[in-house]
Amino acid sequence: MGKKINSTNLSDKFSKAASTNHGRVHVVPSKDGWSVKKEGAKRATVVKNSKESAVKAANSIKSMQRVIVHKKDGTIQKNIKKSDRTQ
Amino acid sequence: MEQFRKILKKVIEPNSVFINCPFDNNYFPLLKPLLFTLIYIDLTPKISETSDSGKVRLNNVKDLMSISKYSIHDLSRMEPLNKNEYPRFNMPFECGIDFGLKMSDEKKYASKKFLILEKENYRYQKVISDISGNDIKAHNNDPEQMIKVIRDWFKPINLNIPRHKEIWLAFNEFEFVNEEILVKEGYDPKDINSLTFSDIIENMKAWIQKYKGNQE
Repeated sequence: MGKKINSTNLSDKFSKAASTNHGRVHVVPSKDGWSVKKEGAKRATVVKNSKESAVKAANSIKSMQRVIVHKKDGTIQKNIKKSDRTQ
Repeated sequence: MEQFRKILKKVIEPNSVFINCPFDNNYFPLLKPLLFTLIYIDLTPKISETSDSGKVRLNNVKDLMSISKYSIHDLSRMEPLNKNEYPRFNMPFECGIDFGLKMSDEKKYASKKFLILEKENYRYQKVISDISGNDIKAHNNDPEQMIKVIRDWFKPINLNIPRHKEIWLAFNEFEFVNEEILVKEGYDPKDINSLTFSDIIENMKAWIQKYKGNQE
């Protein structure tokens, strides 16, 4: 069985995380292609046919600080910092 | 008999959804989007902790069934996880109890609705054909499809629920935060036993509430 933890403390962290914006852009595999979505936005900015072109589109977003590429189960495949990309 | 009378007295909660599914790390990537979707569309998942102390788990399961207007029974993982293991009958067993509960008082439970999940279309006809005629949908072991199936089933009940794509994108964003926070706190985000289900639900609720609030 899972550990019972100080849930208020932990759920506060989740609540706080949903209200901060670190300029992250998510690249998400979907049924209709690869969606590029700015953190907190309701809809995708653009949908591309391939992961490569989606990552390229994510990199071109001005406010982007980090690109998060997701796997088909929603977990993280790659977490690319802007500074890593420009090196 | 006394226990049965107690159940009959319980009031059905219109937003509660009882979940009957496997509790293992193989299923966790499907359970998370299932829970997330229900919370996102303002429903309350009811899921029994895997080892409740001081109370027989089956009684707890029966209590949750009796107060939930909706039930989701995932029968996609009845076969053994590994070749040398036994088949897993908990899910069809609990599904049968829920059907029995509904049939025990057709008037009281008239509004109770069941969604049966499978991994592929029509497999149930070979293994549990008695449930034919109910709502049976296949998630194909795909987390995005799981969100679509759940969302589409509730759509006629609530016309205002968002498209499945909105929920899928939000879920991906949540998964990033989930992994980041849990790793920082010393938990394994891929392990279903890292947190209790009530903790997982609380965390999802807190995140979704704020996420949706920011968009209004």
